[in-house]
Amino acid sequence: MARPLLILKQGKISVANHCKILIADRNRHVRELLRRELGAEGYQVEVARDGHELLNRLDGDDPPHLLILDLEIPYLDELEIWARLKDRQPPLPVVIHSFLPEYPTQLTVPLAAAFLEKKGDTDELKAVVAEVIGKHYPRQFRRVREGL
Amino acid sequence: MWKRFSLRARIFLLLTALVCTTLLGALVTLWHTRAMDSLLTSLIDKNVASFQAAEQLETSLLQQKGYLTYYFLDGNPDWLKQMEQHQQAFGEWLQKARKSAYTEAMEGILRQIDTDYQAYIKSREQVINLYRQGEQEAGVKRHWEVRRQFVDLLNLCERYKLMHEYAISRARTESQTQARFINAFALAALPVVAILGMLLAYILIKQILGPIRSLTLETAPASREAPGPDEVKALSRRVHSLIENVDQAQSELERSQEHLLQSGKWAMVGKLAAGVAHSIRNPLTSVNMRLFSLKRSLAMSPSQKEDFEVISEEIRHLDAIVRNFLEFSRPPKLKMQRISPSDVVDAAVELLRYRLESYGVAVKLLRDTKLPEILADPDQLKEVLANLLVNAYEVMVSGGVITIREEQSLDPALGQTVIIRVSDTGPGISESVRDQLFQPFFSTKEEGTGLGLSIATRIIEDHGGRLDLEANEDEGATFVITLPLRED
Repeated sequence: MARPLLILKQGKISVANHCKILIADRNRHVRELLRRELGAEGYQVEVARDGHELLNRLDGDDPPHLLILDLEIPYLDELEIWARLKDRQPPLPVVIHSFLPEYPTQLTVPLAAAFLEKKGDTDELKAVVAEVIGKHYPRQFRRVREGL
Repeated sequence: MWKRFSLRARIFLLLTALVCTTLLGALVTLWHTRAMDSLLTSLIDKNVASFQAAEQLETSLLQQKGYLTYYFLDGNPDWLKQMEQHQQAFGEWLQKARKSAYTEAMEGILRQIDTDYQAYIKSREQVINLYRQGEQEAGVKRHWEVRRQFVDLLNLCERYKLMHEYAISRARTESQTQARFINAFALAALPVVAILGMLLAYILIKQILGPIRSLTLETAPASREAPGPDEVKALSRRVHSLIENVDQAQSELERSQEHLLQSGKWAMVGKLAAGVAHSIRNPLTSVNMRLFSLKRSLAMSPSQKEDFEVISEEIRHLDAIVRNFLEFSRPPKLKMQRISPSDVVDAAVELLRYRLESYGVAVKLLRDTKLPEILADPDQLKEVLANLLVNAYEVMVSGGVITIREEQSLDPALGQTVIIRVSDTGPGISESVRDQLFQPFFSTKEEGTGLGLSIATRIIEDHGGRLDLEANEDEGATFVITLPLRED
């Protein structure tokens, strides 16, 4: 009977109007910039610097609603990440934020909600994040989006 | 058994057998001719002379017949004189016969004739003496005795003659036997020579001339011309040209091995460089992000703004170099599909239409019919064409015309090919630059990464084709894409 509990959790978050985003990136400065930029947008942001931290956060008590994943973080076992995300309830949308041409055949890519090439322009990332959240959580985070 | 011998040994064996048989035949013929000749000579010189002597002997004996009787009848001494003459002739012929006698038996019979003749002469003298003395009765009695002796003598002469006839006929029989033997030998030798000759001819044709002919045809150049009357000469010419080709291939192989070694080194350097580029990319992006953030919030004086723009611009340039280099060093796998290169040309021109217009550059497309479909990755091919088009309009600062010519051709190395020529009316490419043009990181542009043509060349080569440059100083440049038209 895990379902009611999950619904209860979602409801709580919805009421608190907190959309939680997990950023996994190998570069500390990139992590911090994105935390600042997305935090300014009203998101609750967490960061992970490698695969271990990422898994810990995903398994933690308060899991994120969206994952921004750099495919180059250390200790990233893509197969394992994908195995965990595949049947996850509720599903966790993933935005891959990485260098474009180098990983065209990796597993996660076709399964991600969005793919964004890592560039200087952070506005683009913000737009993609908003779009993915709007699509996956059409009711919970409306006010966040309206506030943009 | 026959198969165990080499071709050479077989031919030598057959040739030896043929020559031996022929020589043997010739020798036997020679010997036979000599034998016939000597037989004939001996027949004529010996037998015939001897036979003649025998005949004359008999004749001269016969001629002595009757004179004694005539003398008895009329007592005329002329008869005796004539008889004496014949007696003398007989003596001479006897001498001749003795000389020409050639067997023991003949000599024996001649001795007998001589002895009997002496006895006969003696008896005859006695008869003549008796007649002279007038003792007729005793003479006649003795005369009958002499006549008997004469008949015996005549028989002896006849026998002697017969002996010759027999010898001659025996010689003839002998020669006939010999002739029969020679005939049999010739009859036996003829088919042997014929068979040996045919075998030799068979081997010559089947195992030497035939293979030479087919070899000549096989090694014939593509033009399929007839090999001419002297196939061995033609073959030797072709073998020589084959040897030359082999030499050429050898040196090409050496060159390509060197190239391989060189490219092996390059691959290693490239891997290292790619690693470096990749590592650079991450902090570079971080810097870029911060710049973006700064730009948004910072109030700057005009000169500060300019510095800021330059920093941003150079960072972007660095990023482009790194990105291009990574693409060059880790080429994406081609996604092949059947497509007409003409469609790709259209797509590339369409992609750049706006920029071409802004540069004041017109595109002239020379196309008779759409090029046939080939196996290619349309995206990669489009990148190559876009690259060439960008290079072309960027050198034509004050506008110009880009001519794209599509054609099909037969390439000696690639077979049936499609060719796309991209020509500009720019300043051309000087001799000194031409060699370096395709090398990585060579660029004449301020903002170039020096990897565009390297990437384009690699993509075309991955398609099994070639990217060449046809350039004249001052007259623009033409890049030629040659792609194989595979029938599979």
